[in-house]
Amino acid sequence: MSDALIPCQDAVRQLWDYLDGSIESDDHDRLDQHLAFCQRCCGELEFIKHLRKLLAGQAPDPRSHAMERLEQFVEGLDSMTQDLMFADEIRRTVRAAYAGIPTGGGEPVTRRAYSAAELAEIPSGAAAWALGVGNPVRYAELEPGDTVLDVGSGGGIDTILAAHRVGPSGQVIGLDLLEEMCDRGRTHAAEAGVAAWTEFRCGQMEAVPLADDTVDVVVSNGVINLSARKSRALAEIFRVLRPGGQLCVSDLVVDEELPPQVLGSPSAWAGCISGALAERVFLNKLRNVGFEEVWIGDREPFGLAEAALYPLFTPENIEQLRDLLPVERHRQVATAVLVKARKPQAPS
Amino acid sequence: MRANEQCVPAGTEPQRSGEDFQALVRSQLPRLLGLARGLTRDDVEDLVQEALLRAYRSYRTLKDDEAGGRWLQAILVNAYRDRLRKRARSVDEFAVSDLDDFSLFRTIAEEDPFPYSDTLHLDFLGAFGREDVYEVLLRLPEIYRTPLVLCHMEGFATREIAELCDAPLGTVLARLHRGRKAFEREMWIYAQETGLLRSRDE
Repeated sequence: MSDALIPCQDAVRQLWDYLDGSIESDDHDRLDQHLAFCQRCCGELEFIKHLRKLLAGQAPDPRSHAMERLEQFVEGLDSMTQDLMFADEIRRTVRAAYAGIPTGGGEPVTRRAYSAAELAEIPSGAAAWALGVGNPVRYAELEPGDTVLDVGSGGGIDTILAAHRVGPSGQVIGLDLLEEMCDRGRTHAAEAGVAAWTEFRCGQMEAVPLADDTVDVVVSNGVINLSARKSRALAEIFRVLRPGGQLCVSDLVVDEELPPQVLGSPSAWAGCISGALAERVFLNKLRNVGFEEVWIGDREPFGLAEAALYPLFTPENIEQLRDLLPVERHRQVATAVLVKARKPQAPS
Repeated sequence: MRANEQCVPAGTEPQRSGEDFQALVRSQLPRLLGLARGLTRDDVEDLVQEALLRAYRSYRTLKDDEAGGRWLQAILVNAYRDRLRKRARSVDEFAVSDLDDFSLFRTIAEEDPFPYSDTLHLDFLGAFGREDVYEVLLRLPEIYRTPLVLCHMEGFATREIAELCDAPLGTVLARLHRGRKAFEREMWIYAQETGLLRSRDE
């Protein structure tokens, strides 16, 4: 077979027929090949199985209904995947990718987003571990005395910049999934002389280890997209922000569908591409969890040249992306954006 | 009464008795009622009654006792379609644009109505009771609903549905395809309109 997989849009249209067995054998093979790569479409296939059961469950005869349910229960024992967002698998992928890199993006990455003055405030170790896609602290309007949470703090570059802005009367918390990243952050914060009002906590962005209404500003740099449950991560940010508090996040958005091989590539997920939302969806999720004054801007193309700066992508990964993506997308696989939003003053 | 009885000469009596018919109906009634409920909102009993009357009149044409259930269902579907033809409802009021690319799965993931659930998609479906699913089915235009009900609730093969609906197989397949997407979309709209999702997460 050719190496070009059918796009998700075509795959999704055929899933019901696929389950009926009423699909041509060529289409069947093509769909199988797609599903081998595409976790999201596998999730949708499982979901449609459940929809079919829901419809079959409407059948009137109570005896056959009970029989059906029992049969389905036995069938279901094989496939107990309940979380069709695959949160645990994706978290494992991300953890492994970030645990596996020997260093961050370093100077090629920091040069894109940080000024010389900003870099002068940062120990070289923190700059070497830079893995973000923007510079959210610059836009976060931090005041001395503010409490700041940096979601996905990594080597601590943005945490330390924020610590300089809020000063010793403030407090900055760096949150990261990996303990070794937190250790790096602590070392770099000590080198920067901000350790007294900076701390690093190991934890998940979907379960922020902070109390409600305790943070003035949340910053994050290329991290939200790594979550399989972005709505929950955003709901957690909303929860810990005090009323009137602000979110200021740099991240990637992807408005056009990516090929399934890219979507299914662990490095592309860890590299912030596969998990990126469409801009519209990102904004919608922010509003759904309660944010107001949602703003998105500072759009910068993020292409293969930019992706190649990050150690999360091997040269082979970049070559694969080059082959799979149409030439016109090589310069803009995704878009780096700055997103701001505010938690309403009066609790809703 | 006596005079009527002698209208049927001995020997030409149908081989099947009224008792056989009653036994057949008794065994099939729950299914028939269920099918009728899947097809139409109002006059469910009236529709079943009409179907039973038609069945009774043509009971002698039933060749295979084993096929009695399917035979009754076919009569019910025909009776239903005859009624619709008189009412001439149209599919116009139902928005079909963008239907082919609607995905309930993705809509749930994007809108994420239960951010703190680990089983988001199943929780969405779990919010629907039987009556809710019926409501969703009944919101669909008949040309989509009938193939959907016959295929997924009653287990008819698409070829059988084509015969029942007196439509070419290709038409039935196309309607089934759209019907499933329409069902997915209507599930989402229904959940929004009825507040089905709000009641849970707050």
